[in-house]
Amino acid sequence: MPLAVDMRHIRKFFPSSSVLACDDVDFAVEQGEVHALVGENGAGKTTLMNILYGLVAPDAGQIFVHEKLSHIAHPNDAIKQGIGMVHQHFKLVPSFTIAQNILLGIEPNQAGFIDNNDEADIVRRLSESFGLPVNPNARVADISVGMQQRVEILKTLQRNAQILILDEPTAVLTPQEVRELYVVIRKLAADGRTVILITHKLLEVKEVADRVSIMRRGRMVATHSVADVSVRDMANLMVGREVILRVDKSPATPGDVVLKADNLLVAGAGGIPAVFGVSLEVRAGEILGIAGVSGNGQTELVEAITGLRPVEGGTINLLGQNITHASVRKRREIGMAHVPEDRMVVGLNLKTNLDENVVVTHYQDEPYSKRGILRLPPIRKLAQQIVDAFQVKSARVGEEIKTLSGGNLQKVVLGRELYGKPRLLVVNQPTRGLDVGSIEFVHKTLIEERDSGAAILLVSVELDEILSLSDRIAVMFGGRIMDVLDAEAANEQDIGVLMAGGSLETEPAAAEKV
Amino acid sequence: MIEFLNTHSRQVRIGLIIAGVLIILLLLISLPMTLLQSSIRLATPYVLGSLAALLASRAGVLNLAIEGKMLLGAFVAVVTVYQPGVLPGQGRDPILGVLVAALFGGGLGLIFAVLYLRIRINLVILALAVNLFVANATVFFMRVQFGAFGTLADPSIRSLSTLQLPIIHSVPFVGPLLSGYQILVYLSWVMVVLVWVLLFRTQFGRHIRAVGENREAAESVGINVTRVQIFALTLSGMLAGMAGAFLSLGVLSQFVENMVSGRGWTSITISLFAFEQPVGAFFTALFFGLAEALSFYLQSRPEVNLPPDLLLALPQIATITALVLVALRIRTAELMKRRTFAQQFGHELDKLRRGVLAGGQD
Repeated sequence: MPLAVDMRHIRKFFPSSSVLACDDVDFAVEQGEVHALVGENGAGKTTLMNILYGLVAPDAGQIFVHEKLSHIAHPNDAIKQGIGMVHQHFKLVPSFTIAQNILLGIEPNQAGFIDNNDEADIVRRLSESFGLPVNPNARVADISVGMQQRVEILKTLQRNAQILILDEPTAVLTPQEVRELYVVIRKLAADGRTVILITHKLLEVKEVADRVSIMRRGRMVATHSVADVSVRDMANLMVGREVILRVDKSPATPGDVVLKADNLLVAGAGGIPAVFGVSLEVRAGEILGIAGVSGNGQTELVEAITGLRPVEGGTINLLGQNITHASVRKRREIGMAHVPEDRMVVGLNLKTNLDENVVVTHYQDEPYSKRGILRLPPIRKLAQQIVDAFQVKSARVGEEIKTLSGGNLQKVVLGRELYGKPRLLVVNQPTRGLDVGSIEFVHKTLIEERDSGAAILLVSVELDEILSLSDRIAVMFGGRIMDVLDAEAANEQDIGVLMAGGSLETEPAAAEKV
Repeated sequence: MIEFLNTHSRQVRIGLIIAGVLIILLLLISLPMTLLQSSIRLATPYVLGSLAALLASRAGVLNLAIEGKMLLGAFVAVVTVYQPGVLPGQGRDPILGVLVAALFGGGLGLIFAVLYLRIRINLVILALAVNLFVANATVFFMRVQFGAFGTLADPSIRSLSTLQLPIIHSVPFVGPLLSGYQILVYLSWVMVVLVWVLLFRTQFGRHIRAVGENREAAESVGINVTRVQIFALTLSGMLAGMAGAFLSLGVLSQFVENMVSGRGWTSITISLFAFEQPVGAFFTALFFGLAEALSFYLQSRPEVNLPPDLLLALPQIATITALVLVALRIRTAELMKRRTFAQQFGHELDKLRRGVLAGGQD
């Protein structure tokens, strides 16, 4: 089979976040195949495809389209080469009709004037020739997400795309819509078109793809024929094996229920449920770990529990009080602390100094303020205490913190959040981007906190972290909790299967109650 | 309340339109003809200004510099027509003044667009700078070039001539209501239609709307977003310039320092209030014209015992009311969106749970 796409030695470095998104990546796709490109969020697969589509300029490497060297500097170049992309977040104009969206930019016109009936006819013919029925005159704002995706696919076909890139196409679809999409994908491939499927759902790969390429941390790890690899193999290649960090801990002695969430419903971007019916309990003196590939609702779950995102359905209880719609301050007064995912933006204010960053959760209490006036000496004392207790190197009272390393910044956050002995600690990706020493420190601190009776909800995409710290492990996929495992009995393989959307044979449909 | 709006949105809209028509009819019957006439005349800068505002925001740029562009139009229109020494009323044709004002407004719109889109100056700072610059530059030129303080007036400056519409002007009631205004008043009505045709019947208008509503969608199909926005801002500037020319040549036949006095800002409010629809903006502008005319009318009535300051503030009160309504509308829309989400997916969730409890599969 001739190659439809051949990308060689692609390299892309993002200086702003200092991430090497693509590190000498080779990627070849045969004509007429469905080729899955899998990897965790941040593995570089979307960047690679954005390079192919001309949205991102590579630092190095060559791209051959239909075996001809191509310069793709802009999506227009890609479209001219017969490449079409359906983005994860659809690029549609909500108030326009289906026909107007499909023909956007290529409207048939007479001296600049448009005839709506002409447009509807063109779209009707297009949809019939591909067997993808749509109502050309329906407004995009009024149609289902699955239909919107169909509009996006038709948009690329109207521009005569021979190579279609679908970015996480099933992330927003209902199971019924997913099945319909599979049929469409197979049909397009049968017509001789090439489909590249970006995904992290391995069952989906098994079901619809011919071949699969796996990326991990900016590198191309393997390319296989789908028939030759199991879901488990793919999961292992995707997540990879890291150095297992040993954490010394004694068995947990769980006490009373501290946090109880029941049947939570939380909206994500674009009006899609990000958390769909999650129920869980965290007890005093235990760590509940939430494992999962990032982007499966963990962030929204944490934001809902900590009060940063509205809850649309279900209830949250903290120490017997209903906090479903309580303010962040109210939650903190009851005894919640939060170590957020993004310490640079949410966790800390890098534009101000250490003092203000540590007192920000307690500034309204005595002795830190009196009659609305901040009092500097006690604040400085608190800052010094945290610096000493958490060994925050090179941090000085009253000075800026933006020059501190990631590990030291995280220590500042931890020190602040653990001050005042919280009853519940919600921790999201606590060791992302930290060096080994800092990781060890964070892990040790969390275990100590657990042993002194705090309930800890730990969310992490690092499987090792989950395995070594948690007492119980809940696996999240597609906004739902797939299963809850006892940490003693859990192994990496089982969790990998659950993270990929599969289920464990031994415990069917036990995913409801945590 | 929200559920009701949610399920009956179409009926609510039709109800609002019927209510609007009834209010207009009631006003037409009950108000004196002179008041109606001055309402229509005074609405003209609002009609043109709100068209300028909605054209820009349809292209995704909140044009906060309309005030300055209107002021520039008012100034250059008078300067064009100003010819000291000629016999009174024999100066240059005011139509020329309007054209030059449109040209300068468009020019300023173009400069604004290039500074914002190409050099990427912060939009708010840029708009404030333009507004302040024009306000001070007009005063400066007035003093240095014409030796005028506060007001630039001359017998040579003619105001725009009025136009009697054939046939219509002899129809009772309708004739005095619709006929006998200056040509720019009628031109503003034509502009309402032209802007509507541009936005909803041409390819370029479709691109403007796509850029404003979902910039990435437009970019991804190869529409040159920057070019579309520059063009829309230039057109917007031309309309604002014409609105300014009406203030100086249509109402007073002189230029007065800072004579726009907030009408540019009000125009933005009108555009927001009218959902950025040209026809809706036209009727909203008429309402603001009425508020302004009413303020003058009541001041001239000795039997009205309201404080004059309050009457003077009538248009501003109307503006604040409109802004509050706009904010309420946005809030309601958000609430309705959340309510719909909770209903739809809450229901699906219930179904799913019942299925699980009954031993079914998801």
